Amino acid sequence: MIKIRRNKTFLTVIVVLGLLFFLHGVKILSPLENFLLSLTKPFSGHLYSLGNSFNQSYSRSRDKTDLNLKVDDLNREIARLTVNQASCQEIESENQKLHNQLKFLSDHNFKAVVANVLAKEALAETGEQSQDFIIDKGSRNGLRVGLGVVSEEGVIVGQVIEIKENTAKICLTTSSGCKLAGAILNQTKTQGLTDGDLGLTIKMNYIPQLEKISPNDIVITSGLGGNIPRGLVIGKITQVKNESNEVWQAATIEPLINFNNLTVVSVIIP
Amino acid sequence: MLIRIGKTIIFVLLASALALVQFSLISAWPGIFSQLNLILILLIFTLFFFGFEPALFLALLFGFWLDIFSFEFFGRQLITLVLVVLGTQWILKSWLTNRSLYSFLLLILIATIGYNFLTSGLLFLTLADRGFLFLSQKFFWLALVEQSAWSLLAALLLFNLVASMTRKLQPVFLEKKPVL
Repeated sequence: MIKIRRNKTFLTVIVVLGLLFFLHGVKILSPLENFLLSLTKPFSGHLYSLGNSFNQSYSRSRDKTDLNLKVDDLNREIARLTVNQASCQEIESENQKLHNQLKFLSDHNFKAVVANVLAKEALAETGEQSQDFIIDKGSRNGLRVGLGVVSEEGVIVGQVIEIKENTAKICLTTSSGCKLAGAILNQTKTQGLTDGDLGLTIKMNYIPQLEKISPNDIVITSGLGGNIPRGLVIGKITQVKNESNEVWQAATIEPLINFNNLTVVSVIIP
Repeated sequence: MLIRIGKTIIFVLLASALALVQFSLISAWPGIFSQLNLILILLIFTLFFFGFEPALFLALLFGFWLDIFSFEFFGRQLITLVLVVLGTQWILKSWLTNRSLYSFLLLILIATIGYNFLTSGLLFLTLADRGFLFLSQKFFWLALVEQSAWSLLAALLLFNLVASMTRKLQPVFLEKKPVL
């Protein structure tokens, strides 16, 4: 009797799993999934903010004093000022065709979609810790794969890599495989491809030896590819790897803001 | 009948809320705290104290919710959680003879290890760009250790909590009475 009942349970589970896979595969479940996601979105946002506040207070409490708070504020200030500085350099170099970062969207008719961060996704496969974010806007809001995502300060934080109707996944600029077309604000406006490095920094490889780059140079998006506009700050060069016997040189770039504190981002639709 | 339907609805709502807490709240916590796998702990708790069928139902519910939230392939969490419940049920029936704290701790540890291997293995098998095998990733092992520590701690607390509320889990000692 018990055996029959157990077999019945197994059979039910297999049928339920099969049905779920089939209905998901043929997209019959999509309306229900979208409805459930829309229904839970506000709760997800609040829960994430709550978790993030705990995250921030935990990191602050680890230091005995308010030093951490002050450093955070100063970093934010540095990021804001560096963005302004970078914008000014861009304005100069392009004969004042571009305006400063704060007016970037309105002055250039770029549409921006403001989104809340819903969750972080940690994958053992990447060997990095929590490098992808999930935001509460998706294809229904005009988002598509490849679009750039900026922080409140106007610093580019990542790129849309996967999209659903109501949500999207963004990779951070520090994540391996998150590639952006960048340009260094040096004399020759060296261009290259940036890639995340172990979730901590950003690297730019294959820079010709003849190009003069140095620490503290600002790296911006080059606008190549068309999905991400030119002039968004990616970060600041902290280290240049330059061997005389090598054909190429490489730069290590540090992002200007702490990605752990992101709760609201803007996706730029060119 | 109505009471049973009501109970089922409350059960589904609670399970959905927990899935949401795991997905949004716990993922935002810092470092080691983000490794708390509340869903797995509750699944094994249900299996241990309430039986196989409620645990299986819960695994399907949790799996469905996590799969619709996730951007990985649909079914990853469903398959993993159902297999973990089936595996732990088999261990519970075939290898463990009692309902002691040690059984519960062992079961939750095995479930945590099984869950991590299954979920990462399934992802590895389905990724087009496979990169490195998860077994060679430091993050995988670190997450496994942290998650196991959380699971064991939670198991200890939950078991003692339940033991304080019911007499069923109290140890029974047989006293040898002198023959008159």
